[in-house]
Amino acid sequence: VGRAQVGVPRVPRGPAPVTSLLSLAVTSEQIEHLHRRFKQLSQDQLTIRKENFDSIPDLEFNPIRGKIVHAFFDKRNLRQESEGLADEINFEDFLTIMSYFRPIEMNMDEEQLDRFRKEKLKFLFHMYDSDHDGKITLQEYRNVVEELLSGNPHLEKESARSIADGAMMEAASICVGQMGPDQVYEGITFEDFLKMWQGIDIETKMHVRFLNVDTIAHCY
Amino acid sequence: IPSVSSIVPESCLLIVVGLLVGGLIKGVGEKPPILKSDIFFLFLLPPIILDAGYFLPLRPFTENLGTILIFAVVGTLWNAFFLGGLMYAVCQLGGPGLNHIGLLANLLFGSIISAVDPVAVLAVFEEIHINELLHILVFGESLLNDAVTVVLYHLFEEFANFEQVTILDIILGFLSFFVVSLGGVLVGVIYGVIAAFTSRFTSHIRVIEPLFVFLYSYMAYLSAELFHLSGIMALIAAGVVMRPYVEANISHKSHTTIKYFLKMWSSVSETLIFIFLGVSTVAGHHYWNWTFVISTLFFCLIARVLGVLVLTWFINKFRIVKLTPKDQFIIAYGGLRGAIAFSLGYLLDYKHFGMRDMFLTAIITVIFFTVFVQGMTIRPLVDLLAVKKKQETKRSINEEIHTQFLDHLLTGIEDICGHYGHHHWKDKLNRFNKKYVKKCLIAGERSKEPQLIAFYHKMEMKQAIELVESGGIGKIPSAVSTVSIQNINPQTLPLERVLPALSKDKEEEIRKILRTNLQKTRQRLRSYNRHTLVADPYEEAWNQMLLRRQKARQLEQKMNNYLTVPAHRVDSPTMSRARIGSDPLAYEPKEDSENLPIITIDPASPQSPESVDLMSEEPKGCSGLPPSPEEDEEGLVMRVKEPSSPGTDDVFTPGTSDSPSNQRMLRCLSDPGPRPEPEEGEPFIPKGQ
Repeated sequence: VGRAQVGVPRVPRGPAPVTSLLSLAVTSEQIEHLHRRFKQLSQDQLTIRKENFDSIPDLEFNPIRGKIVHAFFDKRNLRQESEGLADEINFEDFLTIMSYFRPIEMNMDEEQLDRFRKEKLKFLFHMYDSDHDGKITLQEYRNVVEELLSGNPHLEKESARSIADGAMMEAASICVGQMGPDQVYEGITFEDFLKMWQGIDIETKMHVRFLNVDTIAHCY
Repeated sequence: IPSVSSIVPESCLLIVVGLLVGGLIKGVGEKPPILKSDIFFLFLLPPIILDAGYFLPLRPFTENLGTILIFAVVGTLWNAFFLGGLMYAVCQLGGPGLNHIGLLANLLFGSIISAVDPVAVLAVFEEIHINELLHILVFGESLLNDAVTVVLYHLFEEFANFEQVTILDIILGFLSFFVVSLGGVLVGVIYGVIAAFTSRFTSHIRVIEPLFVFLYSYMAYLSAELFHLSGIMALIAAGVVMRPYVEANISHKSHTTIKYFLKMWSSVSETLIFIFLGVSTVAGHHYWNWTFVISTLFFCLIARVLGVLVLTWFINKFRIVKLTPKDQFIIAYGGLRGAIAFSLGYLLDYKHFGMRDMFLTAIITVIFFTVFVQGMTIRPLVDLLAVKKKQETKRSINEEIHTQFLDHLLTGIEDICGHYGHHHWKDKLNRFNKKYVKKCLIAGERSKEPQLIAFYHKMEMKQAIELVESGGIGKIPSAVSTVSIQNINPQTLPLERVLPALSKDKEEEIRKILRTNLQKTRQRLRSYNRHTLVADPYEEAWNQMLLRRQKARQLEQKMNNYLTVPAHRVDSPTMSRARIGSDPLAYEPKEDSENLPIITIDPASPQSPESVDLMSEEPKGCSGLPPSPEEDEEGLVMRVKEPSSPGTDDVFTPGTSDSPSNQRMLRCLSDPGPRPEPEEGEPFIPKGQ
């Protein structure tokens, strides 16, 4: 982590998992830029609450806005060992969440790459699994698809449900293979989730560039 | 022993064939035909480019657009000037034979030979199946450098006539690059939009839909070439722009037609081009100058390698996924030259360029070298360097959901960061597209269909077609598992579906249909008797029906795995049929329902027709039992699965409407029988009759 800036809290070296991502050279410019943004969002307070996210105009068009905001407050993502939702997050937590979207570095070895990938997928998994029970059940999956299609108000709920059911069955057949008529597939566990994402190159896709320090969108 | 085709790429073989043919013709004494430039540019090149543009994988292309543009523009410029300059130096030092070739001529030569050729790249890269990124980089570069080539070629050709070249001319030339490339793209976009708009109205004349696609694209190409704009870019732009809208509007058959016609034409063109290259080599006048040719070859390679190295170093500063040295090697090695260079050289005027023959010889040598040597060795090199190959993944619905989810997530994070990034603009474009453009260009209801649903429909269609084609018996595609809805949601009660209420006259209509059909049944059933040895006219149909039932049972099991998306209106017959077939609840007796008698009948039972009223009644109430259409949901299914089967028994066809509500009603309604006034609760065939 680069040199400390005035007003930027030092990111402490916590337990090992924290350093695995954060220690990967979040440059000081990026921290400064994010801090500026944090101050904008929080209206110069020290913490952000859920309501502060409403002030971002472009976020309104996003169909999964609820899940995204929720993810910021999800304690599992904030690396605290507890469950549930935090009420407010400070800058350090904000940075922690942002660190999930780091681009990959050239000099990573296999093991680091694998851990990197797992971290990102874990973040996604938590977004899908809203009741925090470690499994994505059919109802949760249906919920995800409904949200994705929520931008089209005239669509029936049936469509979303059918798609989700079909996807779930496909997931079951990938993860478990042939199933007898009596077996019940409880839900997608994290291992199954990893299997499903094998085809998609998550390390390269899930990143956001915040190199550009000049353009900061305005809030209300 | 490896076969010839695994060592030698197809393009090389075709050139050899061309050489043989040319030699044959010459040996006979005739003059072999040469690849004339207008034939090439007007007829042979457009199909290949249209094929490439229409089926361009848009996502990787746009993701790497910056890289591709830098390679195409800067790389080609560098190649042209480096090569031209060095060749000028060589000519000056090369002795009397070469001294007279001026700087401009050399620069022109450099610009002709420096462009990577899309035809050659396609021909070679298709066979080696490297990963998508490298493929799109080299291929995209070969497509987009056409603008640069056109500008440079015309520029130097013009300048060769001037006595003096002023700074103003150079600046104008530089500006003309933008005009040519952007103008070409604009022409393409305009024609693409017109084509998409036209396809909106073709729902009644499906047959000529493919014609519009081909016609408008070709017109885009011609219009651009007319104004000396970049025809290739126009063609690509037209194909890319029109594709999503046209595909939403046209029928499935038209889509297939377009696909196969494009593939056919581009294959034929490619073959002809390479053969002609071979023939032209034999036929042309050659002037071989060792110095010139060898140094051309040498400098071409060096220019390419240097260019790729320097540009990659520059590009990697901005890329997330950096290009490794292996990638760079493949990109440099994949810079093949081809027929475009030859045709451009052929176009040169003898008057101004007396050394045209020497140029042509050098061009052909470079083409041969790149296609033969580089084309043949790239495959073992790819294996040797263990370059990542293309992954054959089928798009699944899960991946689609995840990709869309990820897109929205990244857009959201970008918005939170306040960063106007890649995803932000893509999302804005998508929203604009959905709100305004799609409404204009896509006909009817499809304009509002979200991408996920469209994708799901497409997949279902594909699976349904696959199933029908495989006959439903025997080979089960391995991707199909036995996972059914019961496995993931065991609490799904069959009773979830509520029967929609039907109006009185609809009910009456249904009863009438049943009555008329059932009357026929009675007659036919009576005539069936397995003890009679007389060949029964209906027996054939009966046996067919039995076979179909058997097939249907197996089909039903397969179809149980596929859920269909119920549309919010009556959709095409195929969809509703597929839905009926896949409705897993259609075959289960409703144990708990009181008012809904289920009748099952087994016409295959070895009993006399009199007691064919084998049925299981529900204990309460009504006991109507129309034997055939209701019980034979299988019959219903079979009929719809083979809509044109020859021995269709129209006993088992329910007649008019296909809508789901009707089918369900048919399943559950009791038909009072062939009497004038419908009366509930009357058995159709009284027992003991």
